[in-house]
Amino acid sequence: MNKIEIEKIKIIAVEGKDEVNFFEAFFEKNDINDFQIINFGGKSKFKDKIKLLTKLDGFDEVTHFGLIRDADENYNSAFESLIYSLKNSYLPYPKKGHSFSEENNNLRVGIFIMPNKNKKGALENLCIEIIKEDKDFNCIKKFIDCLSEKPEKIEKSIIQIFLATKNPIVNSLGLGAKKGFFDFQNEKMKELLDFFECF
Amino acid sequence: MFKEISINRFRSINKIDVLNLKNINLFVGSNNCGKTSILEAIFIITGVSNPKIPLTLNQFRDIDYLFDKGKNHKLIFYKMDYESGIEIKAKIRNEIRELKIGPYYEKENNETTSTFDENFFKNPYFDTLSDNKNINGLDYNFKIDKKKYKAAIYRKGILFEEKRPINYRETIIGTYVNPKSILKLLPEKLNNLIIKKKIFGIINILKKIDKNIENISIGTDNLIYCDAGLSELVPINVMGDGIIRLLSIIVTIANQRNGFIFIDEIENGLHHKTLKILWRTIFDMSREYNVQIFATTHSYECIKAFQESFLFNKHQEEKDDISLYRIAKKEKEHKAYSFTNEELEELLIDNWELR
Repeated sequence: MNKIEIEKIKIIAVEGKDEVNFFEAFFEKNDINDFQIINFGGKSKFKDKIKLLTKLDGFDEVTHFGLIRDADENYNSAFESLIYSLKNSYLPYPKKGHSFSEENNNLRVGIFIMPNKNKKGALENLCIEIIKEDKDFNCIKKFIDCLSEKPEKIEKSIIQIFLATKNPIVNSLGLGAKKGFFDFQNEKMKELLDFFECF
Repeated sequence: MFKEISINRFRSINKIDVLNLKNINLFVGSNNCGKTSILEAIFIITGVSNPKIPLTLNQFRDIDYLFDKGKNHKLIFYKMDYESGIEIKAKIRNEIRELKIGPYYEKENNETTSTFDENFFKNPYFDTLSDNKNINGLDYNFKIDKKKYKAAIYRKGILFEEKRPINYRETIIGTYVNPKSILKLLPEKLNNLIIKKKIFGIINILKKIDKNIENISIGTDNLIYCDAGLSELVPINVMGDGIIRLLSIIVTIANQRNGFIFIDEIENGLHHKTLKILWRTIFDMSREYNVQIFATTHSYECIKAFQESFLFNKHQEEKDDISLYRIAKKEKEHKAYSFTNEELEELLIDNWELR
């Protein structure tokens, strides 16, 4: 297996494999081909992984470093947690989410919190916003409503049900994105697209 | 124990600081990144009063000073600029030692006479030095906790002369494990262990590689012989490079209580399974004998064995015992990025390139 190296001067760090697949599809659809996507393997690892990344070969040449994670229950807490991680590694940091730091030693750092600015939730919420316009979305909603016991992670369930209705069936959001099941031209994707266009 | 080292203008390194040195230190980095030079600089300041060391190190690198008219003295200086001199500073336990190495010029005569034929003028390679004063050797100025000393090594005719301070007595000792010196020193070091009844510990370690090894002895011919269960003893040389390499490292540690050991390209000649045995042995023995280890590698398998073996060592509670340093050249300076064992584990799980 080939070793992972910092190969591009623009990198983004994401939470997991699903996000890697999602962004690979998103970049391809939007003709963005100068970013390397790095899987940090969980939001709890951002602090340590940022520090490690800064010590690896190639990081000195990085000019754009994007951090992308879920807001979960609180947008501001997610943002503050990333700022703390950046400060811990002596890296520049933006003053607010969905924006970029001043340039420091040729490096600019940007933060995007999923699903969108000042919203709680995760990547799944952003995708649900997109598939709401799908003609069969109401069927999925009715199916959920019909259940005697509601699933604990309802957004994840909606995405799984949506993917189960597609052909071919895939079992993860990221693979669904690669199959083109989410419309990246949708208005709800504008914030994410703007983020990369301004970066 | 070395706690930190600062190196200025030595070989390919203009400047580097390596802080927070641990009991076992592994230096990695791409070719020509300066990792061997760091090892050499620490070795030089370990033997701060011994100006023969840089020239010996040159010979380890196959730069034969005996047949070179002073030019190889320049090779230890950054960009061969000997006038700027080398500065090495180290914190060892609570002692601060500083060493400045500069050129030593011929002093005995104000004028020299030489003869040459017309071919001299056809030689396109001469430089100003050829017509000026030759560096005749190395000049040492060192300070131990602010007390100053001087030493030098220089050529005198066909011989070398060395000056060492009589009022300085070295308190620490280090050994540079090099293939060229291994076999020469091994019989004597092994003999010390036989006398101290420590040889069976060494044999038990070798058994992990070759279970047939039952004993090791030294012949009157000063060769090391191995009892591998055959009808007669066999010279260690025929047992393979791996056994000799492993033996030389563990025998050096066992002979070097409270000292320092330097091993360049530690993975050389060793199978990846042997690398794990080597590291486990180093982790255990370095504590037992209180030896600080400095090693280099550019092998991924060696880094992996280093990290994995630490999990099995007896002293694993000492989490702060080892460190890996990635050496990188950054514009005019070099930089050492240190990684703890836990960080190393994360990077290896994710399959990051570290070399």
